Amino acid sequence: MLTGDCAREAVENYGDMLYRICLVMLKNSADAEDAVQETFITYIQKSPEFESDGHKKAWLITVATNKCRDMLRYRTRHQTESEEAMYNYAVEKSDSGIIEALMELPDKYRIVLMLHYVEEYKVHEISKLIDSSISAVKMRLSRGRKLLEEKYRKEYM
Amino acid sequence: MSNKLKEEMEKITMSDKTKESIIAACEEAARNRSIARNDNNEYADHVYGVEKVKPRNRIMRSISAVAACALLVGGLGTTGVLLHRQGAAPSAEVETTTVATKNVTAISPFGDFNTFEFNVAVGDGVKNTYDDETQAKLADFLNNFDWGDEISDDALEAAYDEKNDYSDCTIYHLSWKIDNKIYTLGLGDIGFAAYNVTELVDNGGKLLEQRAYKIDFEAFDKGMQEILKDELDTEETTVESPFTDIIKTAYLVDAFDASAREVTDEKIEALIKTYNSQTWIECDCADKFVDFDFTKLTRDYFVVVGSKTIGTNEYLMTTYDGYACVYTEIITDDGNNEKSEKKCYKCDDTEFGEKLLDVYDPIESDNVEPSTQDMTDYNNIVALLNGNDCGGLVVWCDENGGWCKQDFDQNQYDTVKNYFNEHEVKEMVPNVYGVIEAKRWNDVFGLSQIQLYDKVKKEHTILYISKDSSMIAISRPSEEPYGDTIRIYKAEGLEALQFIRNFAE
Repeated sequence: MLTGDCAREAVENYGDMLYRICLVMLKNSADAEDAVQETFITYIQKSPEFESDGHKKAWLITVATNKCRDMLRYRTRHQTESEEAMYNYAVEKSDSGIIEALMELPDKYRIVLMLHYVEEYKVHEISKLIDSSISAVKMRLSRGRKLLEEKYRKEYM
Repeated sequence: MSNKLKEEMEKITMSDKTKESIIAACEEAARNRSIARNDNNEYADHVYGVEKVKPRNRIMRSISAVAACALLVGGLGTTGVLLHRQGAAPSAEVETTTVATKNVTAISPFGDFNTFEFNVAVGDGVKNTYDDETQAKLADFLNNFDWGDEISDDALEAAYDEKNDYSDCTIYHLSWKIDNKIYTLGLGDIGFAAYNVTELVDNGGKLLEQRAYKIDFEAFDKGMQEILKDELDTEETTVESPFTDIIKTAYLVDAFDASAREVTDEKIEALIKTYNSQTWIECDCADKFVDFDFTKLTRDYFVVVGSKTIGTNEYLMTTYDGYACVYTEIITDDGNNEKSEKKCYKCDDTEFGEKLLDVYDPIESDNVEPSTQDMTDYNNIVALLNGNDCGGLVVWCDENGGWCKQDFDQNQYDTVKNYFNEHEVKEMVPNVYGVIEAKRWNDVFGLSQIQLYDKVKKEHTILYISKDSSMIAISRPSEEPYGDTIRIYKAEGLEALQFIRNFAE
């Protein structure tokens, strides 16, 4: 089983990357931190073996996006939690406004844009990571980019 | 813009304090896990786990969603009507005893549903109670259903991990209240049932018990649907869309990338079903549509062209965001075209195009993988300019509100030739700029264009340069019928070709 040292190494290497992905999905920094923590705990508990660093990174992204989906689903179902707490827009502001523009896009576009343009995953890789068809990923990239551009140019430039 | 996104995103990091906190939680998890493995005590399986390490466990909170619903029920007051048995409702524990002694009526692991005033929420719907007869059928079904084996937290978590997309997850929520306790049961198509007992206390709810069972959700869903058929059927009446007749006669199915799709019976059926899934309301939005033109290089629409009679074409154009327009074109005996007025509709689904994409084939022109991009067009231009088959260059422009045409002089020819010899395109990008001549296209590329004529192949290649000199669009005759293909590439040094706009000044 993995040790605490392994956890430290994983958090140092992948923590920020996972945090950004979770932040983009959840639009809330506190929840994003929770999701990242749960991802690493799952990593420690399951102690999976990986063929490569790329495999490990992909596994962590998949688990993290699943955690985020759990949370989003939880938000939808858990009607007792206050709306304010659920959708608190506690995201760091960017100099240019492009992150704000990204955050205003629908969920499905945000994660695909993030994985492609920030983490530089290819379409077929994203389709595996988020379990969507290649055509759906292509379309989301295309539409998402268009929406982002419109939003960005209209409101932040 | 994508570079800026990457640049800005990479500035976002977690604080060192947060990282240390996560590392500490992981170490705690590792330690608990180790203790659990070394301890032969059966109960130890429940010692480790995310819940122990971290109070804000989302997985468990997800399966506890029904508990939350139950709290809400408690707060609002249960209005259930089922009371097949009068008198005080016995607790689940008492019912378990009952089944052991009477052994006549099957009772669920959660107690006898005939004794509960339970609500049922289907999917994302609101909580419902039904008439006595339906509610009794539901209770009998729930009592007799095979609830399978109780599963561990690990198994439940693994089931969650395997499931990636919850968007279509149909979930049944059942909840009932006995005294100050809320009982909830959640069932999802992931194939589990999560049972929670929550005690209402002053400051909210206190979770008393939590169990999960692996179930055959398909069987459960089928049984519930059978009982609730009448209630659900009233909401599922299919209304034919105004487009069914056109789709039935379709001979061309086309989409943004100007690639005619094969029209099959299956595709027609799927299209009819997809359009029928929406409610279409007539709207005054003809200005969103220009006539469908087979010669356009790119298109903004999903298109279906049908023909009931020779010489008549019926067009259905649909935008990605849920607008649709139909009109008829009649070719008269003297060869002229007569078009009917456009009749336009809209539906509520602003991403209706996503549904149509499931029916249409993937859009190849939206290929965004640099590693697999097709550079044939670009390479052909270089070869053409360096060979002897290029019939000269002309520029077309309309920047002054009218079209003009002018041949290049030798200097200009050399400028274009040198550019292509000295620069390589970087990557192909999706065409998200719509139809040439559309406002979006004009804003980004304008209409000034360079035309290269291949004397041997007798075909034109048309080049558009983006106004910000970041992209070049290359239009070539398509191998597909009815149109050309357009590919857009990022490139550097395009400032050298901006002189084409000067022709218009």
